[in-house]
Amino acid sequence: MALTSVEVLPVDDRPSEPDGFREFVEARSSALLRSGWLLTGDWPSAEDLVQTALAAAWPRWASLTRQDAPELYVRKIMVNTFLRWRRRRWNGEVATGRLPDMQAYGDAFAQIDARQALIAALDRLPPRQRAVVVLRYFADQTESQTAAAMGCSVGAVKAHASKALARLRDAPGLAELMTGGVTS
Amino acid sequence: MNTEERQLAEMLHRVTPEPPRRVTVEDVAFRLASEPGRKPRPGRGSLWNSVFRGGHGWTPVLAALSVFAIAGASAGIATVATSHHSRVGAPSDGTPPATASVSNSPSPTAPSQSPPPAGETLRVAGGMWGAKLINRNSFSQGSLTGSGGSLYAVEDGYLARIDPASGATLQTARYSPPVFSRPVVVGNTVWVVWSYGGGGIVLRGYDARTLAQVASVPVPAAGGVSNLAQGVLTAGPDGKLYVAAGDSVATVDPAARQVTHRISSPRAGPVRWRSRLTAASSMSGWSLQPLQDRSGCWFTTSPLASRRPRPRCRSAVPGTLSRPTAVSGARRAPG
Repeated sequence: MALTSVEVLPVDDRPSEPDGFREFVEARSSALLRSGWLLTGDWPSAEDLVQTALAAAWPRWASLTRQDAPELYVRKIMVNTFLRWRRRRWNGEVATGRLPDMQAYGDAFAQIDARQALIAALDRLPPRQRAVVVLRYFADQTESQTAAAMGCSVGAVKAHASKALARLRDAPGLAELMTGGVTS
Repeated sequence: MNTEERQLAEMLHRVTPEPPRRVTVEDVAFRLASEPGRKPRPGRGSLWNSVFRGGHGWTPVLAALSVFAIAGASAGIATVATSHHSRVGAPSDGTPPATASVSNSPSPTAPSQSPPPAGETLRVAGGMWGAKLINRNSFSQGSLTGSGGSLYAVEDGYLARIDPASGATLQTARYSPPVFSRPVVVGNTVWVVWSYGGGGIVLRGYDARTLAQVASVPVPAAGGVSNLAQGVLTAGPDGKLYVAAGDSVATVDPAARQVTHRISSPRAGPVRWRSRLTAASSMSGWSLQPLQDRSGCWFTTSPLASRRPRPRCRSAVPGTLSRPTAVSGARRAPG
């Protein structure tokens, strides 16, 4: 039960943290995590996604801040990582905190139902359409920013958005959510 | 954007919940350190150069980091990791134990340092964000917990209260853990598993400040109890203690110091305190772990379980987890 060995090595400095990185993480991690949740459907994966993107941004931070686009870059990494996961990961078993036999227990569970309906609706979308929905309508990015993040044309973004909206129209419970109802 | 797009955008902002926790710079730094393929550019910092470029493995560093504790904003980061063989007996009169060696496995590429004088902290290699060695006792890995401005950890034969600012061991109480289970602090009492076996389970409570024994609660076990179980005691957000007790989980009211409830026929999976129980197959032992968002806890399988159970799902009426109401197929959920 005890630690068998801890090696204490000489060290003369801590890793240098890029200027402004901490402020960015503190200010934006919540929004990034919420985007990650919309992309992946669960918090652990969302956290994994955000950490992956921030870890990728760390070594390039100085250059990103010079270009005044650190968040765009982080979101781009998030989307690309998400798309890569969806291509490569075996999706036969999905880690989820959501249980199939949910019942409503007052407002708290109505919120959970709303979130589940939203994630279920997003799950119906192909990954690229889902990414467009998140970037365009949640992250409030322009079509050109979304296209840059996804590495496609503006026309492709428009096409993905149109198809995604068509699919979401048919998603059970989403119409009620879009016209009002439960808040988080 | 047209009306439909605006409605969608508004709904996404409205329904998407706030995250249960934020990502921190420390999370990212640890992620960078854990993934050798990803590293900051050369020349950025001497730690990166000396560790990454020097080609030393990060294994010992990460092993050390695994027992680091962030002891609160005021105290900064406190580390309590030392060599397994370096333990010296901690006196029970509350005085800090004597200094011991901090390493028993010197690296050929980076030799171990001699321990600094007592009372002096030592920066740990790879201790990102400035982690320091503040206490040279040998604590059981994973036994560290913190509450109310103190750290608590289990040594071989002692429960120790540690000042996170200085690393000094302030109080000790004789305690030999029968199974691996982290001390749990509820209110002003530190609870530990005193005995755990077929003869029964006993929890003991110690005053959080003086570590004087203040309670002893027997918890009858139903069914088999494995002495290889881990993490058999946890506290819920309701302030109750939850003890894995054979084929059931007992709820102990720390104020009344008695078992008040028993969750019968529990199965592996997370228990949401108010709503539902995810179940797997039956097994001989339990491990309990609070969920990250503190809304419930995990029940996990015994290390003796030889096969991976097919997960099933149960829901339970709020407050009556002893009476699961429905069973259906489900996938196991992460904490």
